[in-house]
Amino acid sequence: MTEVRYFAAAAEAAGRHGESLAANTIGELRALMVERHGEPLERVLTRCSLLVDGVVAENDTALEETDVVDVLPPFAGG
Amino acid sequence: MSSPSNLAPVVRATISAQPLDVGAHQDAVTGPADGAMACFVGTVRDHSPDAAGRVVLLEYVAHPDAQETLERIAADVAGRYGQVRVAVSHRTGELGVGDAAIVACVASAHRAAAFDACRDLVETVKAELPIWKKQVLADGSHTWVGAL
Repeated sequence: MTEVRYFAAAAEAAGRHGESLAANTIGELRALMVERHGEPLERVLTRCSLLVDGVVAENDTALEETDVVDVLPPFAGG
Repeated sequence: MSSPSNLAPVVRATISAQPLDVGAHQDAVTGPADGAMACFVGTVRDHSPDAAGRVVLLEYVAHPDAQETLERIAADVAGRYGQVRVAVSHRTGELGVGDAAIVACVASAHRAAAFDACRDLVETVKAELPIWKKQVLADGSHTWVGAL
């Protein structure tokens, strides 16, 4: 299982700050997140970067059991 | 007591849940060799281009790595300008209108480096620091800035 951490708008849309999901790639993970949490998260996800252990990932990025995936909406500091 | 001019380029880089003290940032960077200090304070305003109503509250939420990222940003910016010292802090938690969300101070022998490095520091923080902002409007609704 891959550990997913949701932040800010993504956490609000998913209704949680994290969960464990089984997926082989980032693309599969995105589909699973949308399946579980529906349209609100799907909308936010279009604006989010997904990081695997701190590195920006694409849909074809492969996932290992021990990976931590961060779902990051656009930064809005300042 | 060591002279401030002997301090490292980054004298403060902090993610803080407490109110920011502008004077403390100024004191931290200035030394006898400095002829210039630029200080930027970003404050909470009561309106936003992506909010229909009046903004009454902002809530900033930081990624667990934000402290480390801010330290790296401050060091990078200081390195780009040479003889400057920087102090920068960003708030988290709930802020009211007028509260300081970010304080960035840069001291240098000359004004050009102080102005330029201060601007660079603030722009880099806005682009790279993993912090998010929820704005709460007068009618009780809220939006996450940049997310929708």
